Amino acid sequence: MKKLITISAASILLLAGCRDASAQVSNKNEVAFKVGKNSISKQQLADSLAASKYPSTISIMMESLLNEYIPINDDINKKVDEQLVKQKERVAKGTTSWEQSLKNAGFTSEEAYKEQVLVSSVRQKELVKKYLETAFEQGIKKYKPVKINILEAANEEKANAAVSAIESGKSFKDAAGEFGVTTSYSGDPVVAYEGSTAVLAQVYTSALNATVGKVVKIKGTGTTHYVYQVVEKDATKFKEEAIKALESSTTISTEALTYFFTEKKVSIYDIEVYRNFEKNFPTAIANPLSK
Amino acid sequence: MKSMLKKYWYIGLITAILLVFLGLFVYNESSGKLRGKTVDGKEIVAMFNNQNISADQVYDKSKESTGTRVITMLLVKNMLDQAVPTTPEIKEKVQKSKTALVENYKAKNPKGYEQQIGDAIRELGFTKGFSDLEDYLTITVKNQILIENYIKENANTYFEKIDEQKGRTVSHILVKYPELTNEEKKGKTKEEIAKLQETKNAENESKMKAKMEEIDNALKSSSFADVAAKYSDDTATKSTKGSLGYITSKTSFVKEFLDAALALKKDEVSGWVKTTYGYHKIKADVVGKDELLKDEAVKAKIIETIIKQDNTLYKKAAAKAFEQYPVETSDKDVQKALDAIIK
Repeated sequence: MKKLITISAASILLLAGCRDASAQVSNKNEVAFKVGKNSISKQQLADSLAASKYPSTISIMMESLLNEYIPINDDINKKVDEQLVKQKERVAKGTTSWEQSLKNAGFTSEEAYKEQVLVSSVRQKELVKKYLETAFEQGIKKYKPVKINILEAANEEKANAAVSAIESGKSFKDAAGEFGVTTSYSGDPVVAYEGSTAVLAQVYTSALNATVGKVVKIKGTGTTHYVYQVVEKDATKFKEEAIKALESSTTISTEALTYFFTEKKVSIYDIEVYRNFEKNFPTAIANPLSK
Repeated sequence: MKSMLKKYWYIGLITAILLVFLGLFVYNESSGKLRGKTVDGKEIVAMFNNQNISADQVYDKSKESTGTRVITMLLVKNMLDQAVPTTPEIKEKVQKSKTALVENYKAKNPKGYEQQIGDAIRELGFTKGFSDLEDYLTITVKNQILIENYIKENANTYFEKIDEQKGRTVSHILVKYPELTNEEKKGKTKEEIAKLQETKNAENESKMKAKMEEIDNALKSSSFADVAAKYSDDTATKSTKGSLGYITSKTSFVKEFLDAALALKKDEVSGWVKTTYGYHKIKADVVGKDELLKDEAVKAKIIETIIKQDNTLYKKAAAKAFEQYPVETSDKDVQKALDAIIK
């Protein structure tokens, strides 16, 4: 009988080992807190926090990356302050006060908001910038940035007038001011790239094949027409502007994280975290499931 | 031994076959499975940049970042379980809320409503998502009861305002001004529309006066409620026989109407009161704290009004309940969540 029990127990253990791993907190039966007669164990609290397991793991990895590559220094602090000023200006245009909007978002002070949100977001943007500087060659091959002057005209007549004026020597900015809808484009050069929303997709596609300096007119929706002029196609000649345009793309942010995660080798030992990580960064896992 | 083997050889063979099958089964089941890792007794979630990230580190991170909502839910749930025990009435209310909520989401998103609701409540720590909906709604229903109980326990503080604010239930009969059609309003400025409305009102004045006379005559022989049900142009209160429910000096009605309604004594009926909507005849149904609180439906309405007017009530009610069911913890994140609930 004893032998039978031993064999059964060993078999159960063997089968239990066949399940995907799920990392558990230590001392899981310890009481996290009590409310009256009810006790909540660390395990119960950890189970309730399950939805945060993946984002918290990424957050820990991110902190490690930021500490290594983007330390907090005067430059970062300056950028954080600039961001803060911009956000305050934006909020001032609405009806809610800055203090109230901080309170609504759950922050006790401006300092807390800076620390918990802005510092991290500025550093993350800098990390993407670092990636783009490192992988600039591949980036421009993939996203093909072009620098163009563009204006939006309300109708074809205005678009034709703008083309003539520019071809006769008028600056693009002045032509945009005179014939264009300046709320759309001011006439200053913009950098458009594959998948960007800086200009209409058909304008970008046309610009890829256009000659530098040539003024081109394109029909938009309704009576709208666009007039553009390619300023530069060789992104190495406007590298800084190209990086600035590319760094705000979420696709490129994910690409940057995939790059750093691959560099730093990520192995995962928890199925919940594994599945989420695999969905977002499929090529960055150092310990793929053995098949 | 040899003789034993000779005699029971088939048992050995069966055992060997079973072991081979068990081995193959285990091999098959474990291939493609994620292996765990433990270092110094701590289970590891991930390794990054040659550093182990333990489940304990992830737990602490979760608590300090997004965990406040989850901890708050657990604190409140456990307090409510003791302060407001589940009754059949609560279960019924939960079912009603569930039906209404599900129908609402289903109408907007017929295929993905369960996922949508599940995702929203999973964020609050309800790990099973949609199937935890009843638990979530039980907390919202019990929270409401907690506040209502707090008001009843502190009746002197809260109900004394009824007389201060001239609390009463009122009914009205409306003879409405004619409405301008979209066609009449088309292409006109606000001022032009106002002028056109005035002209139309004047044109209809005699017709409206005739209806008001008819109502006055009807009131001589019928109750206010019956006349309201028959003659009132207010579609919203026609079905309640003109009843507008509980009002106070803080109710946001047009000034002329509110002034007239608050000046009435119990059962008194006003003269015709002119407002931007038309002409109203108003009756004060129940006046004064003692009379109002006798009616449970009115009492519920009064409590609803008090809750709307005082947004600190939940904090007060929760603080009192947590005094009775105190929280014991050494975890700073739990303490932080508790402070946010009651302070």
